[in-house]
Amino acid sequence: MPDPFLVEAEGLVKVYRDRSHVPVRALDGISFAVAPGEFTAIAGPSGSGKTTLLNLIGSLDSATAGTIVVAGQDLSLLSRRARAEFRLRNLGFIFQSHNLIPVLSAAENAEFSLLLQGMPARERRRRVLAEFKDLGIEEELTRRRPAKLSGGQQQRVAVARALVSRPKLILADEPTASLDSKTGARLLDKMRDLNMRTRITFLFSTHDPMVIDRARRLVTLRDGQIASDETHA
Amino acid sequence: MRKLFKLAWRDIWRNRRRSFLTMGAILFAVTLISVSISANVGTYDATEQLMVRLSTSELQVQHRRYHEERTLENSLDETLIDAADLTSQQAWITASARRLSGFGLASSDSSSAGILIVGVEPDKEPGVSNMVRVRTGDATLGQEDHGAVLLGSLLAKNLNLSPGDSIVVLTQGYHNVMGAEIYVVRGLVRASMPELDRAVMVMTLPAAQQLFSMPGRFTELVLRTDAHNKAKAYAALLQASLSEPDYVALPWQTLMPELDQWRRLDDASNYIFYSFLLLIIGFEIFNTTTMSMMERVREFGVMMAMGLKPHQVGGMVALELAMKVLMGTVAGFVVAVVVVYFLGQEPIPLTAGMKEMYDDIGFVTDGIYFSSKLSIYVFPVISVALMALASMLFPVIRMRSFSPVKALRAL
Ligand SMILES: Nc1ncnc2c1ncn2[C@@H]1O[C@H](COP(=O)(O)OP(=O)(O)OP(=O)(O)O)[C@@H](O)[C@H]1O
Ligand SMILES: [Mg+2]
Repeated sequence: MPDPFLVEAEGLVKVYRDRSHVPVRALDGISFAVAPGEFTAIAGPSGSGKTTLLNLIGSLDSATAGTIVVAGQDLSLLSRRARAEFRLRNLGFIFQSHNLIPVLSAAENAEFSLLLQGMPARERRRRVLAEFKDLGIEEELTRRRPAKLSGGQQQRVAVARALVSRPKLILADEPTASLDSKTGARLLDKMRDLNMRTRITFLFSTHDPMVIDRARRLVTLRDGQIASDETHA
Repeated sequence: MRKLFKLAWRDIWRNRRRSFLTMGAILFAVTLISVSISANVGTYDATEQLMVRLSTSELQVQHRRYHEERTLENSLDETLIDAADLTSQQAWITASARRLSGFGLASSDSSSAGILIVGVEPDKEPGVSNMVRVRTGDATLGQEDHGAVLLGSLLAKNLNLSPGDSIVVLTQGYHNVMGAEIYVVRGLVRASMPELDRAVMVMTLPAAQQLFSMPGRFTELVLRTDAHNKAKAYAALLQASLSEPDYVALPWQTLMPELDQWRRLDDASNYIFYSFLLLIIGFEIFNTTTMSMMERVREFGVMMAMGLKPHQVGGMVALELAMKVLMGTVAGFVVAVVVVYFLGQEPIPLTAGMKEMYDDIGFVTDGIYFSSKLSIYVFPVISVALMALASMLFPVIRMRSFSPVKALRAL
């Protein structure tokens, strides 16, 4: 029987030790699951553990205790190298800002993971241009370097990059925080639209009420624990 | 890794100024060290040839003990060694001349001095060396001029003698037989080195043999060859053909060991300078590399999040740095070749002060020469490239152990 969940976290604990060796318990026993096709926001005050949780799900960091299974893979069993391969095949990331590699053009940025996957150049181009068109990125922007793009354009390229390899899960850490509300809203509507059409799962962390409004499920963290978990119709 | 080539290449040019600085430092070091080595090798080579021309010539046949102990007892017998024979057997011998050297005391009316008496074959000596040069306007020795001598110009000055004057010479000859003779000063010579100029008296070989009571004997058979740098090999070749076991063939390196020693000493101090230069360059490269890595931590984090593997990050950075080193080194090599080519067109004349300095250490050179041998570039190119790569190693290794989370937090 296929796994009904895309993400399953059980008793997740993450303790950071800073330089003064005072342990910080960023996640304090989190258990939750995400089903395929969800469009879910993780909210909570600053320092509540949102980024930490996304990093663990994204296999960028490892948990102090607890288990986490993503796409049927127990992440704690993977080496550094295997985790990189896992991210390449299964995940897409969108960060708050500075997502793009400055020396690559918009199109080259968007095709980066396809390049790493070894896809031929023509096919990469075709997919990227289709994705750009879908996200309303004008043709003339494809050759520009990130420094010559607006913040909203940069974030759209970042979304295109996350989507173009058709990952199972896209992790977006405050994707709208660097954008004005109008631009942010447009981008969110696009993502929601894509989520409906492609069934790619989206997991956001956010403070942004706009994101919270558009999410179908809202998980709220407080002091590293789940304070509430509500699903909207 | 080919996938990342484009990235590495563009990363070189993202901060042009800094990349140019790094490559410039490499270029500068390669060029400076190459030109310096070229000047050294060139000048030493030229000096050696000159010195060889001026005194020992390239090869000599001597008695086995003569090089250690310059006495007339350690001399050669005409009947046991024939220059004409050797020359006809060994095609590479281009000229030969016999010399008889010994010590004596010379007096003029006003003073006396210890002298070096050199008996030469006046017609053959110019073919093997420029040990003495007749000053312009001065008369020279004829082959049969057994009653005349040439004096080093400093010696003549010290003895207060001019051409036409007579000079009395006392010697202790072969088997300690005393010799005393009076000669006419025919002319003055300028010897290659000041010490020689202060002491040398030249006469015909027969006159010297007479003075030292050793007819048919001489101390050195001086040979010139067709290749200055093959002297050691030629010496071995010649040695094999000498039938007299007490006679040895010596190359100029053995005859003038101080030349080689001085060169090696000078080399050592040069290499200390090069090491300092390499350290400075290495430090500069280490700094710029570390800086450019630190600036890009965030980017590396993003790439790793997208699935770039740790070894690929290290590989990409290493590729970028290797290209920089390669370009800097190649540019440095090209610039060095061009600079050496132009400097090598004509030796740079020495200033009076430098000439004096060289004279003091018994060195004869008339300028700074630049060698264009390809071998002079081996050390600069390899050492600078290795140094540059080594100073990039640490930042790169540190990069490889980067955790994506830490990298992503950086900005
Ligand atoms: N690398 C780290 N070393 C030490 N402490 C850390 C580290 N990363 C996060 N923390 C701490 O862990 C806690 C949770 O941090 P996290 O970044 O997950 O919060 P967040 O909910 O994303 O906050 P924000 O909304 O401000 O982004 C905070 O107290 C933070 O100071
Ligand atoms: Mg955060």
